[in-house]
Amino acid sequence: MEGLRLVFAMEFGSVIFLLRFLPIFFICYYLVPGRMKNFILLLGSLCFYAWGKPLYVLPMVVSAGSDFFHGIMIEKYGKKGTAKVFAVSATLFDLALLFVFGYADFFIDTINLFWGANWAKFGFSMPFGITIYTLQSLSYVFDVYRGKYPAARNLLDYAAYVTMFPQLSAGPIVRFPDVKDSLQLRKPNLRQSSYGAKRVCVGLAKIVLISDAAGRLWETILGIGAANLSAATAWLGVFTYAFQVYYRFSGCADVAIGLGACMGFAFPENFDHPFVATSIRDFVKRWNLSLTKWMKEYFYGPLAGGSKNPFLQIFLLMVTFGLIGLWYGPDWTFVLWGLWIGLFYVVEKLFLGKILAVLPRVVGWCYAMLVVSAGWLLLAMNDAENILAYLRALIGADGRRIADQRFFFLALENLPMLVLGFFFAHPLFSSLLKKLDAGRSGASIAATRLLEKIYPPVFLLASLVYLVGRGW
Amino acid sequence: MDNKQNDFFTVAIIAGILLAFSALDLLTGIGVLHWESATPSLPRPPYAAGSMLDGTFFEAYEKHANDNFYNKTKWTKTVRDVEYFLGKREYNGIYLGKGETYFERHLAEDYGETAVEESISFLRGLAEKYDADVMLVPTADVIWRGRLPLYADVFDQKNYLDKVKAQVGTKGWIDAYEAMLSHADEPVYYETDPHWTSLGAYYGYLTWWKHTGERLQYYYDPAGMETVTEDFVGPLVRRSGAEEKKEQISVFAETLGKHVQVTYDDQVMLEDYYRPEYLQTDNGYGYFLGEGFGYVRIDLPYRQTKTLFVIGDSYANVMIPLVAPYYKTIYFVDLKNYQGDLERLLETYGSSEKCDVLVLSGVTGYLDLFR
Repeated sequence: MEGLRLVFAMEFGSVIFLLRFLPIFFICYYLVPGRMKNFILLLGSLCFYAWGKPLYVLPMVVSAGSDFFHGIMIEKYGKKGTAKVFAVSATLFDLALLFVFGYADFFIDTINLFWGANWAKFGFSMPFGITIYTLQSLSYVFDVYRGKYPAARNLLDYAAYVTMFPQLSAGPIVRFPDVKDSLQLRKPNLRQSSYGAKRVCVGLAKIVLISDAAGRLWETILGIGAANLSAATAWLGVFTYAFQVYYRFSGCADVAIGLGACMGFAFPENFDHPFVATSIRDFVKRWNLSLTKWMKEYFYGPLAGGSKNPFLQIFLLMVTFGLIGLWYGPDWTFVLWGLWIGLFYVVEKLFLGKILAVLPRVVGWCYAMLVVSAGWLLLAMNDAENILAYLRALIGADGRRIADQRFFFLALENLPMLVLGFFFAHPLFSSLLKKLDAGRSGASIAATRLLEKIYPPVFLLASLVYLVGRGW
Repeated sequence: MDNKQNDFFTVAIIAGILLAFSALDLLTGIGVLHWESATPSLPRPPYAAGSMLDGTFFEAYEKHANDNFYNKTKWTKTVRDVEYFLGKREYNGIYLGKGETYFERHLAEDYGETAVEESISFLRGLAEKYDADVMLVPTADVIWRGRLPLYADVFDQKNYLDKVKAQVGTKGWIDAYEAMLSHADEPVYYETDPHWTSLGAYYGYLTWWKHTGERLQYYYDPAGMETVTEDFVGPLVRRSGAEEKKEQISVFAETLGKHVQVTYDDQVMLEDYYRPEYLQTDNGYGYFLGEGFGYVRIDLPYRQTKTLFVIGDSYANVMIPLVAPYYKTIYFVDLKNYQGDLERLLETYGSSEKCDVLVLSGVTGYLDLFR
């Protein structure tokens, strides 16, 4: 993904992770008793994280140690000023680590570009998961400072929480209370493991069968060049890119939630079918939920503080969305994407939302998808010239054809992926499963049990065969 | 079955599939299971601190693990078969056509306006200055269009050829397009290689002969062609990652055993057009005159007075033995490899009245020079 860079330590969709790491990890995990599971979790997470760039384990470990220490100090000094000092110190330390390793070179590039300076860069590539574990750590520090729960007293438990490998790839951002009790006392049961295993299969299918295939199609369309695209091919490209991003994030979230369930944890959901959103505010409520909630609780909420000043609210909202964009990667196009979504969020809050509420839902859906699609271009390309050229292709400018042979060829060739992508974008499948699962009749129980013996193994088998068979 | 049993079965099936694949991976890794690979697989990367710290070890190890999975080639074939069933028809720039025909993909955006104009201008210059004949041969995706996958996009070579013809003029234009089209139902191209076959070159030769106005036609019998190999696998198959498909290479018996002298780049001299040693390599097409040379001089045993100066690409390799009996000497410059001064060479050998100048190239191979 050229614009949106997702860099993984160990890919979920890889032979190493699925066939070597995962079996060894879970065999050890299930064999050891009680509290030792946290040790296996920590060890496994460090191995997972070290795969790729071992040195980048250090900032994560240092961050975990720092926040564990700071948490105890904050709690020790209660509401006194010293507690505030430790809270600030912990925050600055975490942000400094995030800045140095993740955003310093971006900052230097900006200075060099706009001020004509010639500062040397650090040369760090953004460590895997740093934006996730940093936000997790910060949420812990803030919550302890606010007195929401006691500080962790067991370094092993806390370190296991920070470094937990399933959700470091792409979320969800897990807050300490989500796992606090499970860290101390959990016993994975069959119900949870069954749910988790099914979820992992679905996630893998999303990553391998949809996202990866969508990525290859997007690269093909990008290679054609915006000037040579028919409008239909350009739109196909936008949907394809959207599928690549969404199904990678959503698939990773499914795998994370599934693996967490297998380990006895209940991670929060992170996506709720964002492609059925009928407004941007609706889209925001469905996309990367854990990040949006984090920003609302720990950034926008405290700063806005219940203020009725509309200008302050608008300003803070735009800053929040800009930061959300920046979370995805150290590039101005990500910030622009965040601001683009934020702009429409604000406009809807001001007046557009009321108009959309009285219009048919399909109008809202078209509007939302248009705005979101335009936003994808900012993520897909980090060059204003290319973005404008692609926009011209989307609207069929410059006398180009609406649809050409190339569009039909690519659509036909990728029909299975597109069908799966559109199908899973809609909540139909998950609603059906939920309905069947909730049913008490013999037929619905039988249907549920039969379905869950079919679709997860099929997804898993297809994903594994595809993984080991690819590579020409 | 109660809920607990149901959950157990669900987990067991999923874990069973995963563990089965893990077992295959493990047993292959420790040497219990073996499998034959047609191509050498990636070796395990050496354990080195430097490569571990910068991450290159892990990347290489991932590739090694994937490459060495038990019976990897069969899995790859399974994936390809499923993808083919589901409609995939293009891999790495190669179209998978009907009848297991592989086509090199040529798209309009591959050849920009500038490349088209410059290529035509070059030919016009040759036609005007040296009275050159121009014979550009369309590739298989144009002539065998019916075998292409549905909606496969191709560069409009006919349109390009019409533009060339308009600039070069009918006097110097040899229409290979019509010649190949009128024999489209014959094996005039290889199915795994981007070149024309000896039969295709024969129809090109007939068209060239008609254009020259020569009264005497040297006769070649397509029915009497000799098969020099039945194990030819063209590069298009390998590039697409497909299983090898073998074809035969045939030559006209009338061109065999001629006492010719072929001098490559003024250095190496051989006594045959044909290079049988290439039949054992990945480039079987190199049988026709070899590969990688920039300039070839062929001294012929015929009682002729004329010379032929050919400017082209590997398409010419197959047709040169067919036109040879009309000449005493043939000079052939392969534009892809020639680094010297073409103008000087033309002035030296191609400018006399007794010299015919012929541009003989595949359309896309010629256009590639101007990209």
